Amino acid sequence: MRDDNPMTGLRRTSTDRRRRARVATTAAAVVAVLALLPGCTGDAGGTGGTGGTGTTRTTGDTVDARQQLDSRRSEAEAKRDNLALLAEVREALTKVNPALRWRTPEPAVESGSLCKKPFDAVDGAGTLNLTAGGAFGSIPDADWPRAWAAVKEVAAKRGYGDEHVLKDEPGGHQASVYDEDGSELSVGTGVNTTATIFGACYLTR
Amino acid sequence: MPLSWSDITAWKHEPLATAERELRTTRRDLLDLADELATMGLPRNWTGDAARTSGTCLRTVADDLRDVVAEVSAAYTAVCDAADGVLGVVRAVAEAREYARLSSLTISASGVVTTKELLVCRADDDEEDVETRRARQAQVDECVTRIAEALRKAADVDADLSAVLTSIELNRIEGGKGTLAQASAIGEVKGDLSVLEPPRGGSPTQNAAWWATLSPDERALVIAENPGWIGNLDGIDATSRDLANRNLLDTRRTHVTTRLAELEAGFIDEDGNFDYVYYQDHIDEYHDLMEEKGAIATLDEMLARPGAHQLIGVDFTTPRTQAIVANGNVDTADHVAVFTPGLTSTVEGMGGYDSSMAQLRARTEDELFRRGESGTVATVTWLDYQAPQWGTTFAGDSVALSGSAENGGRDLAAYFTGLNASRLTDPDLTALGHSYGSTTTGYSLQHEGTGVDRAVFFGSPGLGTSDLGDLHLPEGNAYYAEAKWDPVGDLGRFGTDPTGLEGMNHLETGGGESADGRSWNGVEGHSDYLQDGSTSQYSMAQVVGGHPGDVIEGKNVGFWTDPLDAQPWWPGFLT
Repeated sequence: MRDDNPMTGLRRTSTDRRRRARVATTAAAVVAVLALLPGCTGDAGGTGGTGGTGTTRTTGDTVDARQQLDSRRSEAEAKRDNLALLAEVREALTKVNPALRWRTPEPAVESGSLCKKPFDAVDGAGTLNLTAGGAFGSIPDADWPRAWAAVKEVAAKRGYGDEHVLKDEPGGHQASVYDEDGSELSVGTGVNTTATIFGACYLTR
Repeated sequence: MPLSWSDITAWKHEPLATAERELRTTRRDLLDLADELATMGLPRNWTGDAARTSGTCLRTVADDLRDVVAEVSAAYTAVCDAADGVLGVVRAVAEAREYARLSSLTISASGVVTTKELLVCRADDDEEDVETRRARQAQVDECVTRIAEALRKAADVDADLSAVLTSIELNRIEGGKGTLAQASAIGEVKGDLSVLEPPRGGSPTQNAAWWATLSPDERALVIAENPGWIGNLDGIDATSRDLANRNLLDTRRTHVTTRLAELEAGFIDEDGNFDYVYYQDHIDEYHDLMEEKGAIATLDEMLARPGAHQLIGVDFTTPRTQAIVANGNVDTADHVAVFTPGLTSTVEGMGGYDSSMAQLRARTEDELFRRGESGTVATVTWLDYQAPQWGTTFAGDSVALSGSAENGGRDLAAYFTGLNASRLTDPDLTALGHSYGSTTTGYSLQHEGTGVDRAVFFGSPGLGTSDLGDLHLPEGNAYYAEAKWDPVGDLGRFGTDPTGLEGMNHLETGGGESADGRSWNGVEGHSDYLQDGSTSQYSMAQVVGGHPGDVIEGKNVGFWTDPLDAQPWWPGFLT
């Protein structure tokens, strides 16, 4: 019996049917595998994930995320505080090694972007990366402990604790402290010295 | 007789600039006669034959004067535009010569491009020889294209100016019957020379060469009046595309807002009832516009954030909006990374990707600076293809099929080629591909001439091939990261699971320690490879910054069984 496509009049062949069956089966397999993923999408991430959305976000999730951001400082306040902190960090490091030559007159916002999960669906939320400017020159190994101690001291006054030492070896040192919102102050030295704040998510308005 | 390279290398725009000034003075002097013309008239109450003859003469003088004003104005306008056009040709010639110098090529007086190497096949050529020769031939071809476009521009300027001057010579420009100022305006229109359009169906290299022939004023005119010419045209520099696309975004935003309001009003009839017929007729358009509205809102927010952002591409003509957004300056960065995301990626939701790219950029620049290097970095989120969505799982652009990846790969390859063509010196270029985006990246690298130096794939269902050699990458420059509990990485749907590809370098995704002693956090699952502070992000920063030797190597087993010979227990002698 002729089995025609009603749209084109072309006869459906057994090859077509097998191919469609393969595609459907493969698609179902892919969907099944992806459905096992946390968040149920190929590219949705958890906090700090690869980024992107695609998950159907419930209104409740967004409300919770919004409430969390409402309880934080505004972005303007966080920016002001963090720029001031970086200025203090510059001062502390320069006191340890006056030969440091900062590339910029003062700390500045390097870039800003929108927030990642779980705040990506909140309107008016953003993050900032701030830099002390980078300094030519290093903190000598012998001076690093007191340099880092001085940085931690000024950072603690602005709510940064939770220390994480990435490296502490001759010729290279790098460590971070975090505040309760998740902002990270990262300070490191090798040939040159850097101090950067990778800001958490805040409401921009 | 057609113009030759030796003709246009002698072109200077200064003589036209001098003529421009003289014509401007002449036009002004003529326009100053307007008052005299207006007051020039016959005495009152003078009648008779002499009065009539005088009146006729007066009108003839006025007509002639308007024609002269129109002609001078046309000449002035044409000479202005031609001076600008010649400036573009002069710059294009200079740029072609500079390109030749940087590429160690020679351009003869007649415009023939030569190289010291003999670009012929030899029987004992190995793959590296073939690739080297191909790359060298590509440089020669690019130089030839630059010369060709400079000649095309020169011919266009010459023909356009000649046409206007011929019209003047043959008295074909008339000044109308109005004031002298109106006659001048008529002349301006007649003398206006159009800007040379991009080559039809041009390659990225041709497009770059065309853009090089435009003067700064001509480029500004294109950006303002014809942004659609260049907004998504590969080969054009990112700065110009950004300016053009922001104009396009403004226009589209206005249209979407206006049209949505019209549709929403139409859904309710005059009696305040729901108009089902109107709804049925317009609901598809409404959904499309709502998708665009969401995309535009995200782009607006991203571009409003501090720091350098470039809207390198935006396309509203496709079923789902497509866009390319950069952090940093792609035109000047020493290192450029182009990230292609995968399944469910949308422009409306791309803020998270942009954030990841901003972090990667900052981390990479910090790493470089601490090493003592001053390299700058730009990171690009490339969503200029129809990334599969859940709703299209059983459709043509399904995640289970390679169609979207192949089409996207072709466009991504053109973007890579255009990025290099838009700069006199190529950046150090890394491709990053996640999930279905890695398949798209894999297909893109199967095109020749992309100029990509290194590629990092992560959580990949396959690269569109089972032979790494099909990717036109320098040997040893492909990297793969697969985290534990990432089943996508084991699908092997589009070619062999990259874990098992011979020649692939493997990146650690669990907790790791870099060679310099720093420790990094591990990630699991499909979606956290770019997590800030992670092992995988650290390794990507090393690759992007041009220090792939400092990545943290490792192989993590995915959810399902990876190819047997990729398992840690597989006997080495059987590999």
